[in-house]
Amino acid sequence: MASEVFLATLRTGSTVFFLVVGIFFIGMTFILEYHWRRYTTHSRLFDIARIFYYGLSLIFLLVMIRGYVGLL
Amino acid sequence: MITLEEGETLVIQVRKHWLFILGHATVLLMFSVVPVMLAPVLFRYITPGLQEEIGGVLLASLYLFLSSAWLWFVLVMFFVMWTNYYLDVLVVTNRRLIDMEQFVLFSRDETIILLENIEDVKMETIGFLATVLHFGNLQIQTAGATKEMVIRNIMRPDQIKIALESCIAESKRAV
Repeated sequence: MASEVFLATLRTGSTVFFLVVGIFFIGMTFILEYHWRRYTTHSRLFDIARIFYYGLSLIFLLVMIRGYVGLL
Repeated sequence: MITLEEGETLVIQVRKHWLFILGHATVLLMFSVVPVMLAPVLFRYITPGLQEEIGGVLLASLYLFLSSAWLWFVLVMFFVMWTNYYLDVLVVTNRRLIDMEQFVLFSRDETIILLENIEDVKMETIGFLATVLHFGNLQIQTAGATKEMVIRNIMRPDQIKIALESCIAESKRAV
């Protein structure tokens, strides 16, 4: 059996890591959207790019949440 | 984003050759398989002691958690790279040449040259790959403050040179 201290450290670490990843992703999404909206005209290519970006991000987020829940 | 003036028409719009984004994308693809390659090593050799201590399910959850975060990071980096590539563009209209250079995010350079100020256009294709894949550099001599401008690794520099020269000839005739 794992020691309580080790498990507590793992859970705290994963929570902090989750927050850092979340903040990084939100920040980068704002930056990318800023560039896409400011320097390009609306086009089908950007619609497709957005579907890929947000779709894959959602998948990774859900998988990450699944892993995080398993750690708790 | 380019706003065309009244009576101005877009003649050609060109980006750097796709080979350059492909090179970066390949590196990112290699990064993305790191979790898959590490999985057998992690589960067989490094962590038997840890597996016994914390249990296989917990370790699998940890692997899932970290690998999805890694893949998410790689995805964001791919889109950063693609944005830098896509916003780096050369536009020729019937009046102006606009070179928009995107170095990294928040670092951008935009040069506009009136066609009648262009004195000479030179293209160069150096090397086997550049010849086969049709990319190269375009050197533009101007009469303005920017004496020489070099646009590197663009697609079909020969066709751009021809299009540019015919636009210059037309704009000089109009003047």
